[in-house]
Order: sequence, then C-alpha cells, then structure tokens
Amino acid sequence: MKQKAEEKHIVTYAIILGFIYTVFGAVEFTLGIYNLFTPIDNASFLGVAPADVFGGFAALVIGASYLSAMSLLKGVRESLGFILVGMLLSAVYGVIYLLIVCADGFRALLASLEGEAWTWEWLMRGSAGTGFLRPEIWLFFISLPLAYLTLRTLRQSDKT
Amino acid sequence: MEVRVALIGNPNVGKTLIFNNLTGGRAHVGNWPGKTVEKKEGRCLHKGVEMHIIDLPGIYSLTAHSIDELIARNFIVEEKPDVVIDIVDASNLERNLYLTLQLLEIEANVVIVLNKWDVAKNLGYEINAGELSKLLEVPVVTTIATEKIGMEELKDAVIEAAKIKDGRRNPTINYGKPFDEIILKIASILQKDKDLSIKYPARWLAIKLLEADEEALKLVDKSPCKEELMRQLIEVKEVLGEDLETALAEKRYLIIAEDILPKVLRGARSLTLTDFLDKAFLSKHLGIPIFLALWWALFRFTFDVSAPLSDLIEMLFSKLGVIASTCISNPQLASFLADGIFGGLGGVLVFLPPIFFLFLGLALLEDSGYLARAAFVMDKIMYRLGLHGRSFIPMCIGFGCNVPAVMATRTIEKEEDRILTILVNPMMSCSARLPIYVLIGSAVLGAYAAAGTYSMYILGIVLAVLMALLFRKTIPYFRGKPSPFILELPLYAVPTVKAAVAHTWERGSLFLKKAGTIIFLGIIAVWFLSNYPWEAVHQGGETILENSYLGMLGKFIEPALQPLGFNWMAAAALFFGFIAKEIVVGTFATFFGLSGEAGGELSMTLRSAGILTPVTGLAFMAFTLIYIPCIATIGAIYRETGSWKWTTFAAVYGLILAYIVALIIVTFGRLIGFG
Repeated sequence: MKQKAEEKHIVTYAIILGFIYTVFGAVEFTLGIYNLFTPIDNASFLGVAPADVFGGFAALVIGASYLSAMSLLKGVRESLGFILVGMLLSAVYGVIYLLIVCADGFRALLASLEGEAWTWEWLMRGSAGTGFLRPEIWLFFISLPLAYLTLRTLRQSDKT
Repeated sequence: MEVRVALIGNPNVGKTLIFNNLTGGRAHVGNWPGKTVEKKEGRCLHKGVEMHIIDLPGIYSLTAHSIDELIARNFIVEEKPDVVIDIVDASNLERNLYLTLQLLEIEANVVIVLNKWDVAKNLGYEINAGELSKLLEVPVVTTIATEKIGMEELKDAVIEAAKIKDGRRNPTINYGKPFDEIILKIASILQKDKDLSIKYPARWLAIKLLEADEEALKLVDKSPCKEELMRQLIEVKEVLGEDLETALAEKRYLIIAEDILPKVLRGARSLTLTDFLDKAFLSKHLGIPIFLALWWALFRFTFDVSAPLSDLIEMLFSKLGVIASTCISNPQLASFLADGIFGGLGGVLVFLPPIFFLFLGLALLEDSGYLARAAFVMDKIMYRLGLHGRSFIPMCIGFGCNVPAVMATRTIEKEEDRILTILVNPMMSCSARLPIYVLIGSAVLGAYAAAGTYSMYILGIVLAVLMALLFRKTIPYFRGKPSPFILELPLYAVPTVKAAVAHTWERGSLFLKKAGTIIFLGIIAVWFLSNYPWEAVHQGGETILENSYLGMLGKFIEPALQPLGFNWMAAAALFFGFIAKEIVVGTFATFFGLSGEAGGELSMTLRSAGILTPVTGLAFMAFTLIYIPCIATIGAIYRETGSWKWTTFAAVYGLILAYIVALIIVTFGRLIGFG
C-alpha cells in the first residue's frame, strides 16, 4: 500500500517535470526553427530558453520519457524505466550544458591571456545559448529528488 | 566402447565451460573442413567408456542462415553423433528450447542440460526438470557449470542415452492443422526415395522443404521424386502463402509458450534494472527519439566541451609559427616550418580534442551496453530499408573511422548483405571529416555550425539507407531481403573509467598515428605545391597562389566544380582530401599561410576571404562527406570485397552522388534566397 502511494508521488513528480521539459523543449525547438529563417543574435525566450532546434528536440524527448511513466498508474511497473531514462537524459544534458558553460569560461580566460578584455558574458551567453540560465541545467537539479525517490522504490521492491 | 558426443547450445549458455569440465580443458583445436570456423574436440573417460566430444558453434537455430548453423546442422545430420548434449540456459528457457525442438525434429539423440540452474533459482524460477524430460521424452540433467555441479550426472546420462540410441523413438512436434497434414504428405513422397530417406529424417526434410531451405532444396535436386515434390510445394504455398519459414517458427514458439512452459516453469522472474531501462530504450515510440537525443548530447560534448583544449593547441602552434618565422632568416625554410609544418599540421592537430571526446563518448555508450540497444532499435528501420541489422555496428564504427568499419562487416553472414554494407559505409561520417565540418561550419554557418555538422551526420545516415535501398532494388546481385538479425543484448553496466580511457586511446591514437605519417606527408606535399615555383608565387613580398602548382591544379579542376560554387582553392583542397580527409583543412591553412594560426583564426580568414557562402559551404561539407573515400578506406574495401569492380563502384558512385547532392543544396539554397 505504502509502495503504491510512493509510486503515485513519483508519477506525479515525473508528470510535472515532463510537462516543464515539454514546454521548454517546444519553445526552444520553435524558436530554433523560426530563427533558421529570420536569424537574430542570441535569440531566446525571456533570456532563458534559447533558440535551439536539436536541443529543443532533446528536451521534448526527455519530457516525453517522463510523461510515458503515466502507465505506471495502470500498474505497468516496468514504466519506472521511462522515469529512469528520463532522469538519465536529464543528467546527461544538465551536465553537458554545465560543462559547456565552464568551457566557455575557460575560453574567455584563454582569450584574456592572449590580450583580449576579460568579460563575464559567458555566464549568460555562449555555446549553451543562455549559459547558466539554460532550463536543462536547473531542471536537472530539480530531477535529483525524483532520482532518489525512484531508486529507493526500486530497492524497496527488490527487498520485498 | 567409444561414444561420439556433440555439444550444442545458444551462445553464452556456458558451453565452453561444460566442454572444459568434461574434457579437463584438454582440447584439439582446428578448423571445420573448408571453413574458417574453429572446431574444438576433446576426450573424456567415464566408467570405462571413452567419450569423444565435439564442440559445435554456438547457434540459436538450425536454419542454415549462417556458416555456424550450417556446420552444426550438417554435423548432426551427416555425421550422426551418438549423443547430442543440448545445453539450455535455465534462466532463459523460452529462447533456448527453440533449438531443442529443432534438434528433436532432426532426430538427434538429445540429452538436455539445464545449465545456470543457480541463476534461474535466483531469478525466482522453479523448473520441473522431470516434467520437461517426460514431455520431450529425453533425459534432462541440471548443472551449474561454473561450480562443476552436475557433471557426473551428465556423463552418466550420456552413457545411458548412447546405449539406447538405436531403440529410441523421437517425439513428434505437432504443428497442428493444416501443417501436420502437409508435412506428412511431403514426407511420404520423400520416403519413396530410399537413398534420401535412409540418410535424412523424412519428416525433418519435409519441414525444411516447406521452409524453402536452400540446402534442403539442393538435397532433393537429384531425387526422382523432385517433380512431385515441387508440384506439392507450389500447391502448398498457394494455399498457405510464401513465408512458411516464419509461420513454422511462430508455431514452434507457440508450442514452447503454450504446451511446454506452463507445465514446466513456475515462479516469475523479478524485474531487473535492465528490464526497466529496456522498457524505455527499446520502446516502439521513444526508442529512436531517445537514440537521437543521446547522439546530439554526444555531439555537444564532442564540439563544445572540447573547445578550450583546441584553443590551447591553437595557441601553441601559433606561438611556434611566430617563433619559426621570426628566428629563421631563410625565407623558404621559414615558410616551410611556419606555414607547412606548424600551419598545416597545427590546423589538423587542433581537432585532436574533439576526436578524443567523440571516441570517449562512443566508448561510454558501448561499455554501458546501450550501443547494442541502438542497433536493435535501428534494426526495424534498417531491415525495411534493405540493410541487415548487423550492419548497424559497422555503421556506428564508421563514425570513428571507415577502415575498421569496413573490416567489421565480417560479422555479416550473407555475402550480399556484407558487400552492400561495405558500399554504403563510407557515407558514415568518420572523424576525419569532422575538422572540415567544424572549420567550414564556423566559417560560414556562424551560430548554426554545430547544427550544420550534426545535419551532415544525419545526411550520411539518410544517404546510406537510401543508397542501400536503391542498390537492393536496382542491382540484381543485391535483390531480395536481408537475412534475419539475432542480437544478444548485454546487461547494462556502469562503464569504468579505465576501460573507457583504454578504448578512447586505442581509437584516438590511430588519428595521432595518421597525423604523424600520411597527413604529415600530405601537408608537406601541399606546402610544396602551394609555394613553388618559388619566384612565381612570391613576388615582392606578395604571395600569388594562383601561380603555384597547386593553383594550377585547382584551376584545372575548378570548371568541373564551378556549378557547385567551389573555387580553385576548394577544388585543390578536395583533390588532396582523397589522400586523407584531414588534409582538406591543412590545405586551407597552407593556402592562407597562417603560420600555425589554425582553428578559429583559419575559419575567420576563410569567412573574410569569401571563398564559400553559407549555401556553398554547406554544399562543400556535403561533398566532403560523400565523395571518394580516402585511400585507406579504398584499400580496406578492396581487401574485404576482393574485387576491383566493387572498389571502383564505391569510389565512382560516391563522386557522382556527392556532385548531385551538392548541386541540389546549392540550387535549392539559391532558390530560397540564400545565394
């Protein structure tokens, strides 16, 4: 009974995350397509979601993966796999965007050593689009409690 | 008394371990006659009986689609061993019993070994071995080969089975109506041919003929009953359809699932992490999007995360170039070192970090067990498009280097499938093309450089499948369907840093080696051709490249490439790309005499020189993706196909296709106003 209730919480959490990922993914994807035909430098939605066709597509996939966990409510226990994969993709993208921001910072440092003026621009703009504001980075951190809950449920069911 | 025993089973069931347990690890290793497949034989003395044990290749069925299956089947049918030990993975009965049913059909004197008994128990299975023995009318022994448990019982069972060999009655696998009636009818025709029916079990041969088994059809080719048989087969196919092989395979699985397992197997296997992950990774709807998302993550990791390291290399070569040009007074030697060595080689080595990052990402995907899933997910599409599922792994390797990728096609059994995979493999964008995409992309595509590069990889995959489809439909040699694909999915594992680094170094060092040899020589050649005749090129402090040998060569090729918007510099760069694709970048670096200022500086120079526009740049990227494979790949294609015809074909069709695709990009780009 307790396990069922916890699974319900997990699914609710996953659906909320899936919805947020889907919204940001759709925004990034649409902006990216729009930007292909009418290019604007550093185009983004409210300075948060950048124009990024493939990144948007990836966010949509993460969203779809989380939302697919809904079948867990119908008793399909393997559907926890969708949450696991959603989390894995979430972690992959979160970490990669973080690394990209750090790489941008390192490049700025190298440029300053070569005589260019030092700038903090890489924190909010750069290869990851909107730098540290990139939604996938903070969505990754928000996904961490879900990872903990899901893995705990899996371990508990293993014991029983 | 000597008993000849054949060991058979699916791959990874513990067959080798049982062979070693029985023989004490002493084996005579050779090849099967006329084949390059390993044959292992050993001996075992038990209770005064000497057993001569022959280890057959690991197979999933006896359908004769692969060399391994054919060897195993021919051995059992023609050599008629006294006993066949069928090793079954107790933790995966459903899949393993398929081979068992076929062994019973072939009338082999079978002893079933339920190995991995402990694994099955741990998974929660309760198997009634006695009931299985009763149902299939064969002895069943349970073993744990890793702990040598059950080996004495197995030896006893083999001796007992050998004693009653001739008096044994094999159980009949009932396929139900109308199959059984038809099998009976064909078997009765076959029995009229005494020679054939003495040598081969009539019922088995009848089933094989229904399955349109090529080897079985050869067997009846000279039979006096051939005409009657063929007439019968045509009639049957008119009623039951063409693909009886699949229908009979489905029936066998149905027999296992409905008639055997419910009586033998109790308990349910608890779900493992692999089951959970596979639910999503192998999902019908999400499997491919997840694969694409992971691939895109790999690209971001490859290009963006590695960028500062490329900057560092660029800085280093830039400094070396400056030192060389300022410290050496001889202008020719200074140019050779600054423009040729540091400029050309630096222009290539700057791509070392992305290449190592790409290989690291691929190693992580491979070691985690995901790459096999990617092959499985893509198989559905590949099969529909005329490629074999096993082609996917060589295709993936092609993203690293086409040479090992072409060699990796050896795992594809059917020659037609193999050559087809070899022909389309150069479409897979190898790491050598990566520097070109990065250079041209950042020069002309700006913020869309990564997207442009990614689209080249997608274009490569799309063209590979389209070409496979086209060849399958138009070239008679390739006509027909690819052979079925069976893949053992490994369990997921957390990749270890040590293994991932080892894999990365193993593949990445190939690039380093290439950079130090063929690319280095190529770059020196390009420097020489772009600087000589010295007086004509260097006039009063100015460098007039058009006067160089390279300029002449470029100008000679230019008219052919003008419709694509490529000038003589691009033409010359493409010409040298035939030696090794990386030289394209080195050629541009040498052209602009960048003295080691490669990477970002080179792309900026390329942009300001206006050699390529966004559209012609994209066309150039597509052209380098598709046109003639590099010399090393051409050599590998020749070695693997053993034919100049296919090697020339691979080079020529690539060139023509590259021209067509680049022309389409340029024409379409201009039409929508991106001229």
